[in-house]
Formats: sequence, structure tokens, C-alpha cells
Amino acid sequence: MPYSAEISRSNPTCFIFLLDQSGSMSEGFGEGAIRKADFVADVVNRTLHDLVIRCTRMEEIRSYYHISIIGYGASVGPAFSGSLSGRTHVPVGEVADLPARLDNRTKKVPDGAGGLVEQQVRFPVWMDPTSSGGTPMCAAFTQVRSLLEQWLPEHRNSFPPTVLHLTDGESTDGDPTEIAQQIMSLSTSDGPVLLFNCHVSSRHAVKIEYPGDESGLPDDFARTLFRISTSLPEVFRRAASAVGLTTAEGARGFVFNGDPVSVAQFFEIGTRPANLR
Amino acid sequence: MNAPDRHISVVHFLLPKAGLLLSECEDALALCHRRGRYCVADGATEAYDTRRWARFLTKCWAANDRLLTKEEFEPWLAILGARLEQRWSRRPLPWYAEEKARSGAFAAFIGLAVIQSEDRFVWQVVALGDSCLIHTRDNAIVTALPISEPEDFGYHPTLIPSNLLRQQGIGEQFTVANGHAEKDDSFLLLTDAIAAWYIRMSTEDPTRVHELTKLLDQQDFAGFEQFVARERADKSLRNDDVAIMRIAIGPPYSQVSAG
Repeated sequence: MPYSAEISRSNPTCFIFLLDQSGSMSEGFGEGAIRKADFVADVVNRTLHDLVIRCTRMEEIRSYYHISIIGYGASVGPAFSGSLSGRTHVPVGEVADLPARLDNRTKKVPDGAGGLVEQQVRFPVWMDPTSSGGTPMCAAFTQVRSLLEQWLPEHRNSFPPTVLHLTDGESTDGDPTEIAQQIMSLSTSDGPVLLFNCHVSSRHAVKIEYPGDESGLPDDFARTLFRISTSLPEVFRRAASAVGLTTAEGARGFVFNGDPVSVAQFFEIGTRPANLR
Repeated sequence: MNAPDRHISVVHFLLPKAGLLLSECEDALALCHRRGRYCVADGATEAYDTRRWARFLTKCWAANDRLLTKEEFEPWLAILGARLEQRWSRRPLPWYAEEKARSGAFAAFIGLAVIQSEDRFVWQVVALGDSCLIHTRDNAIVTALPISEPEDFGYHPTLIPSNLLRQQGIGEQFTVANGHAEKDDSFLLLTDAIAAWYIRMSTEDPTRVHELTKLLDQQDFAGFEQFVARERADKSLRNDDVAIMRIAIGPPYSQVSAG
């Protein structure tokens, strides 16, 4: 059965966060006035935080994941800030030890009497928001394909890599379909690479989450993204269910006109292959 | 049955997940023959310091004379949890360990006390989580608890937390049960993966259960390792840590540990 491989230190899996950093990502998002780029950077930092925590055993980090962040806008390339700048396929242990900085944040925790109290916690930051230039999606997918071609030969039996792509607009360097399909045709012995796409919108348009067919999609761009989105394997459908979403069998890993809640859920669901040893 | 004519013999095996070391095994077991107390625990893999928590719970419960009612558990757990968490505050932790430690450790636990009365053995069990007791007689299951159906495993059961705030009301969630044992009865204490396997195979393929029984009879740890590897390879047994302890009523007296 595909997508059932154990994720272990000898058989890690790979996450690639592919992020649109074009100029339009500086527009506002959701009800508050937060910029899309700021919101996405925050969600990605939280997601990396959660991946690290999942691999923490005492003070040791078990290297279950290799992580890359690729940004595309004015340029295309690795998007880690700080000492991981320029790096790709970073083992999660190094991600844990090398955030760009540790911010202090306030977190609400149970007080034991049914209420919540605020507590200061250290919050790691690995990437900062960026927004400039066009949307060179083809160049971005080409870089992802190249990263996968490096990683796959050394991890033939691993749980397949997951590419989580977030964009707010159409490609400005051509139709990405062919390159994306090449990515989706790469595989390990446990199944093809997973490519999930999340489109976000500043206009309060009707959002479409994890559709099973194209019938409700509003335009060609939506249909293009649908066609280059993998069907959600069962383990990801369970993750969707855990955040309160019902998905039909055959639902694609695809969100259109997503709002802030959709983005947070997209990263939560997309990083949930759970079969850790 | 005349209790003084009988003896309690115990055999137990402990195995880590395939590919991990025994020192990474998060299951634990302990016993105190003199007190008639036997227990296993299963530390939650994704929590902090769970191996130590599982070992702490089993060691301290087996060495205790009480802890057989729901009311006795909460104050005892509070002391134990505080002792565990004190260890974490002795020096600064990296941010991720600090974050993980904030949620604390979690473990499933099941403890069996076997008490010899004048003319029979009485048993009592306390459990929280998905570690199980299986009481067998003539190679058939008499009782399985707190879970008795294989499909009921794997649904994130309530576990014993080390964190004091999370322990409030936890005593109420313990399963407490008791009964008496007949001559030649056996009790198996099992962590979740092997418990789910045992209950399922008891109906689907009893020959495999008999094979396991024979390995326990022979105290054959090497054979047990091969058996587990085979069951994992054909996906009958989930690749998880395995703790199994069999408490058998009947001669000859023996106590063997392995793994």
C-alpha cells in the first residue's frame, strides 16, 4: 500500500515548502490588516516548530525529516534566514539548533482550574517575510524538481517527499503544468511525490478546499492548480478530519481562494505523515 | 483450589521497535513477587522523557503495598510527577526540549495484584490507557481489559500525565476490576501493539497464539525475537515496542526475565 512507509532516522522523509514571495504577497489578508507574506512566514515558522517538536526525544532530535524552503518572486532560491541561509535538505536536528533567532512570545496555558494563564515562551524564527517581483512559478517548480532529483536516489524506500506550494497568483513565466507533472511522476518505492497547492486570495472570494473534481472551480488557473495537486492519501485525509474538515475519497491536496484559516490547516494537514518509528 | 499447593511463575519479554535499541524502548515492566504485584507501562513516543516516566511508574507501583483504588492514585501520581519534572529543571534546556517538557510525559499503565487468600487467589487490576490484561484459562480468553476488541486500539486513549495540572481528575479515569483465579489460569500484561495482535489472533489464527504461549513456556527469548520479527514483517503486528509479562498460577515456581 503506498504512503505507508515508516519514517525513521535511516529512512527520513522530505518536506519542501515552496512559497510565493511576489510583490502581491504584501497585500492585506483576512479580517485583520496582516500582510499575506507576514502571515505565511508565521505559519511556516510555526510548522517548522511543530516538526521539530515531533522529533524531540529528551534533548535529542531524531532526524526524521529533511526540510527545504524555496521562495520565488524577485528571485528563486532557498529562503531560510540566518545561519541556514542558502541551505536545502536541512536535517530537522540542524533546523532545531539553528533558527535565525529566538523571539519571546506569550502563550496561553491551562492554569489547572479550568482557566488559562499567560506564559512567556521562546519562539524560533527561521524565515522572514519577503514580497517583491513577479511570480516565476515555472522556475520555482524547476528548482524543486532538481532538489527532488538530488534527494530521491539516496532515499529510495522512504515515505515520499511532500511539496507544499503556496501562491496568491498566476505564474508569470509560463504554464507550470508540465514541470509539476514531472515532479508528480517522481517516486520512492512507497509512492509518488506528493504535491499540494494552496492558493490564497486577498479578495473575500468563496474558498474551495480539497475538491474531488473540477466542476466547482471558477477558472482555468484554478483548474491548472487542481490538475497538479495529488489526491490526498488516507493518512492526510485523517489529518484533515482531525482539524474538522470532511474530505471525499479522491479529494486533491488543493485549496483555492484560501483564507488565513485555510493556510494554517493546509500546513497542518500537509505535514502529517504520522508513521514515525 | 488449595492456594498453598500452587505457585505463581512469571516470565516477561521486552523488545524495542524494529531498528531501535533496547535502550530506546519506551515500554517498561516491573514486578514484586513478594507483594504479588506485576505491571507494564508504555511511554507515549511523542511526549518528553517517556521512557523514564514508564519505568518510574512501574518500578514505584510494584514496590508499593497500596495503590489499588482510584482515590489512591492521584496523590501518588502528583508526587511521582513532581519528582520526574524536578529532574528537568536542574539545568537550562534547549528551546525544543523546554517546549516539550512543558507538556510533560505520558504513559499507559496496567498493574495486577494477585493476593493469596486461604483457599484461592484473588486478583485486582488497575489500568489507564491501552495496555491490557488478558486472563486466560484452558488457552481461551476469560477477560480482556480495559480493551477487549482489536479495532478499539489506536484511538489516542487517555494516558497518565506527569504534569500536575494535567493530572487533576485522572484517578476517575482508571479502570479498576477484580476477580478470582482458578487452578492453571494465566494473566498476560501486554502493551498495546502485542495486545491488539493477541486479541485478534485469538479468533483469526489461534495457532499463532499457541506458538507465543510455547515460547513463554520455554522462556525462549531468542525465539520470541524471531517470532515478533516475523509477525511485524507480515504486518500482523504493528512495529511498536513490545512488553509482555505472563503471570501463571501453577507449579513449578520460576521467574525468568529476558530482553
